[in-house]
Amino acid sequence: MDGSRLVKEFTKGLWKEIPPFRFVLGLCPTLACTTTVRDGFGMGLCLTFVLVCSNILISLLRKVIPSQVRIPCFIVVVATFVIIVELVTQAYFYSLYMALGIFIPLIVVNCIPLGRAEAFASKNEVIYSLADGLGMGLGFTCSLTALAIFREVFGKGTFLYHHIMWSGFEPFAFLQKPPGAFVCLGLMLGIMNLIGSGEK
Amino acid sequence: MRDIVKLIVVLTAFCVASAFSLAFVRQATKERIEYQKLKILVAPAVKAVFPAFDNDPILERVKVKLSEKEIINVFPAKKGGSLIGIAYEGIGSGHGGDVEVLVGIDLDGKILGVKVVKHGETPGIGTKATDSKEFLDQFKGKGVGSKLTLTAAGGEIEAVSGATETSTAITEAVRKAIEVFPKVKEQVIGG
Repeated sequence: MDGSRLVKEFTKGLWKEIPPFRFVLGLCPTLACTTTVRDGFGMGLCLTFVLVCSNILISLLRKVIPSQVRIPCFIVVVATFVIIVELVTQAYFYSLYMALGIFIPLIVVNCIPLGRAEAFASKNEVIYSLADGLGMGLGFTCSLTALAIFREVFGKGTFLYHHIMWSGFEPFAFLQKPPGAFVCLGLMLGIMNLIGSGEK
Repeated sequence: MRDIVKLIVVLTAFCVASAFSLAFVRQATKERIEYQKLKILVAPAVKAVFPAFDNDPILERVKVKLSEKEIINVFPAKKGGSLIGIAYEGIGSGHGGDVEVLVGIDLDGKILGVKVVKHGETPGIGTKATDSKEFLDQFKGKGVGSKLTLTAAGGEIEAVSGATETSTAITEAVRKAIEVFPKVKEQVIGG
């Protein structure tokens, strides 16, 4: 086990390869589940759980899975964890479940868990796969939360449903609508690229 | 040939393992999920049909077997630890499908309150009856032994004009709930 590599695999998901911004992956929940901070953060955690579990399991079983049927195997693993998440949120966080709705089952077809399984977990040891999944998941969570903070604060004038803006504040309702999500995402991508361009 | 066998075995093993773990999680969360659903759907109605209670009737719900196939949820309302009434659903057939009505009944079989939980009636027409407090309040105080049909059919309930079909459905639902009251009561408080 190599400590510096472990750190590298973990941190790459947080900035260098942060999924929605650098890879423009997993956009469906990024756009749809970021109207409020709670939804964005909740969605991020759901995906993180799925990603970490599927990465660990696939990495453990990578020598058993024949390459011809690896994709169906990955899908079964990812789908299983997604349904577990769905049942658990339904049982313990019902209002979050109602808000996220169809987007929880849709994690199955989200490119991130399958992509990480194929590109990373199926080729690397368990401990690195865990770091990779955790990093990517947290990166995704941060992205969604950042987008959601922007959309909720300026689009609704609230933060976690508490009013935080001054009394005469007129919310930009546009930000709460789907086109507003696209505009915010575009702006964030632009800012990320601007910062990133200095790194090379 | 050996390859194909291996592929089949691996994939089958994955699916079987998945099925077992999901069955386990489902079993573990089933109770909680039912509770959460009822809390959203029925809890406001339970509040509406009882005057005052201080327990959580949803959490303390009892399953009552009416017949081999029919099992209903009964919500007991308690105050200071003693049972003041029970609520459960009756179903009547309306213009747009079943009308589900929650009926709160005290221990003597008298109706404490009635609230429509779910219906598919026409907005603006049938909903005149489902939303009418005046209409639903007519049931209060009636109960076992009352003639729970519309006045047009010789009963004690005044229909909402223009929403006769829905009024009939609600009355039917309440009547059916009252009809099974002795059986439900017997199972909830043991006679």
